[in-house]
Amino acid sequence: MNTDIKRTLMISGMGSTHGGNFHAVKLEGLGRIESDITCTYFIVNGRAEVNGNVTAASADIKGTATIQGQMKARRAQIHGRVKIEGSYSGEQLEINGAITITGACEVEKLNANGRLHIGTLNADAVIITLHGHCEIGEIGGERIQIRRQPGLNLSRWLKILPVAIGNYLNAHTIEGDHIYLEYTTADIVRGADVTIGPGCEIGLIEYTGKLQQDKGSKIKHSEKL
Amino acid sequence: MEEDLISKKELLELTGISYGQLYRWKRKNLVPEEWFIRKSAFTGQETFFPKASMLARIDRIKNMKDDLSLDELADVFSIIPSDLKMDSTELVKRNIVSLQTIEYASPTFGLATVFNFEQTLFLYLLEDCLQSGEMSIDEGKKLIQTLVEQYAKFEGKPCDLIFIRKMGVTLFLLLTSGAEFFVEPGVKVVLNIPIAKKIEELKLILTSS
Repeated sequence: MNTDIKRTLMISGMGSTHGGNFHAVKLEGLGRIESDITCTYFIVNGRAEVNGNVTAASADIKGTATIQGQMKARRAQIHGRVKIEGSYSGEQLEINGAITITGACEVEKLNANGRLHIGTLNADAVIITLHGHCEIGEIGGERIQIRRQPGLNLSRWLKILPVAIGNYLNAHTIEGDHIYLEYTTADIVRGADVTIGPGCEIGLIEYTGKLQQDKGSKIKHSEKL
Repeated sequence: MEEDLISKKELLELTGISYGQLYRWKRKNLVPEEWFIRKSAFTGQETFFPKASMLARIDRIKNMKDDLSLDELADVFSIIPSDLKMDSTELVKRNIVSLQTIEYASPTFGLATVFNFEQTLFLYLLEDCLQSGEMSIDEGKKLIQTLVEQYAKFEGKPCDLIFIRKMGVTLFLLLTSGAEFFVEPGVKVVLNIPIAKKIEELKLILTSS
């Protein structure tokens, strides 16, 4: 990335512009960028729309953002709601809120607190605290920890409703070396050490080390390799 | 061109690497995305790999991991040319290209004495083709011309070099990797060289010495 460029793009209020190379991009209020954007700092406070790819060294999004292309950011902090139509790659991703990534998400460390919809997730360390209904096609990594926020549990009060409400995760495959799961529905879980907490429904577990399971969880099949 | 496939589970069992390692390598681009082949199995969608290339790659990563960092390794395996420059005496000294080959190629390259990675690769390919004994010097000159004019159009995507001959008439083709092609009767496919593999070989030579 060319860091010599010291230009700053700033939208305060309402505005739209074309993308390009910038040092810092600051969108406050309602901002729209019509093409690809490359910058060192990408800051959103309010609502942003990018009709292209975003490449940034660090991204800080507070509010709502929609990115039509893919996003690359070494570090990203998201407070609010973000939708990425392509894939995301970076090193550290912190989420407080809701995120939708249609494609693949590849990071070293993911720390999420909220509602996630991700195509495939690949990270060294995955820590997810569930809020609401999450859906991730595939999770792969070394350490995977999926928990539910302790304390308030609305689903018990809302059980009379036929719709599925509650904090849970739906996944097809979860593969990792150290896995801890709570309130997760998955077809296949594979790993070395697997711990299944409460509220899980797993089709098949294949493990090489240890398997611990909560009595309240349903496991159709488990196999030590 | 159906290749032997291996499932992810079998692969990990066979090589003794962990899920974490495999995924880390994938993120670092040590294993190309195209090798992750999704296929349906009785447990749903499963990932398969081309067996021979994947095992060779893992073996190589394991052997080199101690000397190089993962990022440096990624550079070795990536087919995007590295920003290296080398002069002709160095190339000859390191046994990458012989002096004759450089001379044969000089009409096309001009009297360049310093070669970038791409030019080094072309020389390396030429050397290889000439050494195989299947190509004459005149054809070799055509090869260099073809590469210089056409190779850049692939924009870093993997491609194969095909050399065919029929009754003394020869042709060069550059094809996207993995593309199938069929030839009329009497045509002999003399050489079929995956350039990505050659790049890897060349980078290994360059980094090891």
